Amino acid sequence: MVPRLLAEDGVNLPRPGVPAAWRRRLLIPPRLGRAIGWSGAGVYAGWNLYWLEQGRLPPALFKGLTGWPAPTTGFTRALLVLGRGQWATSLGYNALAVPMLLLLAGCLLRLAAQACRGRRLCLPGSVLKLWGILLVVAWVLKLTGSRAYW
Amino acid sequence: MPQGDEVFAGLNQTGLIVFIVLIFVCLPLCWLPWVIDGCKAANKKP
Repeated sequence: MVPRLLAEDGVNLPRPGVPAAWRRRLLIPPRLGRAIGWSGAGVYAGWNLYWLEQGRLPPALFKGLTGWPAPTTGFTRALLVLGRGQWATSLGYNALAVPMLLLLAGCLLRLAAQACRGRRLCLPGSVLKLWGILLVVAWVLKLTGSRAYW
Repeated sequence: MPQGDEVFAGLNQTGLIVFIVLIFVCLPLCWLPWVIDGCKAANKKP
């Protein structure tokens, strides 16, 4: 007999034998989660507004705070020089700019298609994993590459 | 399928962590948790 993996309301069934107190390991209580979330949203909005008011694209918060490049640092510059045919320079600014651009375009196209059909906007979980892999690899390449391109 | 309790704005715990991480390392992708089922909460607060 195949066990049901989902309860009728769509929430995962608790595993048998696991104490009830351990099943819902909510490390972040809702009140703290709201505080963190709204603080993050405020930082996000403030950071973007600060740079956009100066007529500039906002850099990654990580780079602004630490001086170290973020995974997507150089993405825009990489695409701009790629448009001028400077492949080597583009790879220096961000080696995975093109794959990230393609993945971003794919995500946006899928969401647009869902929106046009009146369906729920939803990307598969594998997209998050793919973004994770791309960002990690891009970050490693960035940090191990020439500082001239930071 | 969405799963877990809502912690912030329709996101579950995983979604909130992904959101905060993306704010710091990749601002343009901050919207991703809201369109990925694994990051969305099934149990929304009334």
